[in-house]
Amino acid sequence: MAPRNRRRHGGQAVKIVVTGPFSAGKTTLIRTISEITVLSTERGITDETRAQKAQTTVAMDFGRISIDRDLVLYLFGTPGQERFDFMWEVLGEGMLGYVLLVDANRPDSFREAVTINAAFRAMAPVPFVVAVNRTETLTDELDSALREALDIGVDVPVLACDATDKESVKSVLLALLYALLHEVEPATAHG
Amino acid sequence: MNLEGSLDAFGLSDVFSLLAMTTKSGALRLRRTASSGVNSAGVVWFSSGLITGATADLSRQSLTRRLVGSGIVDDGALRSAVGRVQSAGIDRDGVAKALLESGAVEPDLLQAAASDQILDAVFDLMRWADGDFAFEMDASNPDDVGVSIEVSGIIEESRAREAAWIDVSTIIPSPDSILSVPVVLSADPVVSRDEWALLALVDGRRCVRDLVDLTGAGQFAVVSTLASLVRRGLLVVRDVASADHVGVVERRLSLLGPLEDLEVVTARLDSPAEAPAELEPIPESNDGRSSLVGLGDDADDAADQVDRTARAEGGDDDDDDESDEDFDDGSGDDDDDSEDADGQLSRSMAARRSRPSRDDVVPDRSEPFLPPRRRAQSERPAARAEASAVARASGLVAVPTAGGPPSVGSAAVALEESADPSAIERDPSINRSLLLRLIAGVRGL
Repeated sequence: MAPRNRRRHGGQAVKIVVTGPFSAGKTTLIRTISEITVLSTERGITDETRAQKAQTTVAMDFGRISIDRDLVLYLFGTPGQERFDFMWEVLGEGMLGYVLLVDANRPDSFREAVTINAAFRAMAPVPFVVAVNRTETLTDELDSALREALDIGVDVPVLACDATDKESVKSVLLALLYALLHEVEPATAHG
Repeated sequence: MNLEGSLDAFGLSDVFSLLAMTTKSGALRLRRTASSGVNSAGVVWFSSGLITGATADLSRQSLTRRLVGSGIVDDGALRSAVGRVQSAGIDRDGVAKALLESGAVEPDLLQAAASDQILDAVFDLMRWADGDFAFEMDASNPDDVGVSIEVSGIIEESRAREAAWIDVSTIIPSPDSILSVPVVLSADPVVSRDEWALLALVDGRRCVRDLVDLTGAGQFAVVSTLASLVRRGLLVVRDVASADHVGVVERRLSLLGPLEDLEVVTARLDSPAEAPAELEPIPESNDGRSSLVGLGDDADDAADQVDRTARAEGGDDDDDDESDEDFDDGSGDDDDDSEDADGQLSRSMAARRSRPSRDDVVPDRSEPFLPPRRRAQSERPAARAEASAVARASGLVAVPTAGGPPSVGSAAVALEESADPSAIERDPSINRSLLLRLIAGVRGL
């Protein structure tokens, strides 16, 4: 009998969700790292938040990273405004883990981050990291404030991030992937 | 009652014109019994001859559903508004107005939604071929949110929609039609944001009625958008009786099986006339149950689910996630595991041996991650019961045993009530090998 054809044609796709408060930089983060032009569903803002930015994501952002020939990582960005939270569950289906992005310059948005994080924790007990955008360094004070607000322990990575910088975004994704590895195989994970 | 009659004797547009010309205020109530025996009731609210509200289905909170579907109402505000209406105890209407008064929705957004709701409702009501109407003088609209539209404009719009509807309904034949995204497109897709928002909800299982409910955007708007997407080849109306793209490829490749000396595993044959002359017998799993060959996608899902269960409970030491041998090796390492795990592994092996291997037949393509569908919201008990019956009839749900719940088939899992129905599970096939590949890939960017 001839050997069975074992080539893999279809490949595998995995998903990471990028979530966080309104105007935290989620769309920017995905655009920075995605190899394709991010399919973004943005719409002009008509309410009082227009002062913060002119457009906002109303359904999702969608980016792609081809890992190798058979493996693709998709990034899904959630709409930040709470009134679109019905999309969160749709986007969260089957995710490996998620990045909770917050804006270091907007401590008033941390409360919103708490709500979002609670919703995602309730949806899926998957690993996550907290990325603090628009800051080069994470002060102990800010780290503590975030951990206390989000009620997270030292096992959850909290790291500074610049959503416009590719290396910085890579660090965020790697932190999440190592957290996943640690969960799958605690003894061998390192990072 | 000052004015009442039959719609087949006095058309709705004539009734509207009469009420408008006489600047009446009140509720025009309509009801009919369809040939199926289902009773329907609607109402159109008038104030000084102008229409201030309408619904074609009094059993539903049409306007509030529209607000919920558009995502502009949060849980707390909705709960509070429903509570206010319930405590008032007069009737079930008034939720939208309560939302407005509490400041939960912006007046402009609510009025836009109310205008769309009126247009959709009148359009639906004008398609009633028969039924009765009665005008209740001076009744006030409990959901009056400040919208008032001239009758002439609504009638004109409804007639325009009627003309368009003839074309649309030939493409989307029924509210129960199921749409899916085609595997192959003839050109790069171009879609608007509104179209994308609708595309994101199409999962090959939801019917048009579900999509209308989820978006709250109204039947005409949703169906028109879907029809446009179908026309452009971005959606297809799924014919349940026919095989999908993968099924067609599998069927044709199975015809080559005897010549290629491959394991003949595909059996999705639409008709006996197209069956290959000789098919290898369908293997049976260790527990004597027939394997899942021939059940197409559901069989794949079922086998995958069994694999996942076996991996989760029986352990999986594989570093390579792709090969059958890898899985066999894994089961060999688990000789000391419990009987339950062994049983699951055996079933998994049988399912894996027998199910079609998509990797062998699906051409290279990038496609978005498509997790198994989970309920996005509570489904109607009747629909769930029907789904359960279909799943049992198809053999995908194992009969529960004294030892535990059904254990075979994705349908069995989907129909199970978990401890937390809102919980979403991460793909259990994620393993160390995969994660190391991801890490290496991201590092190399």
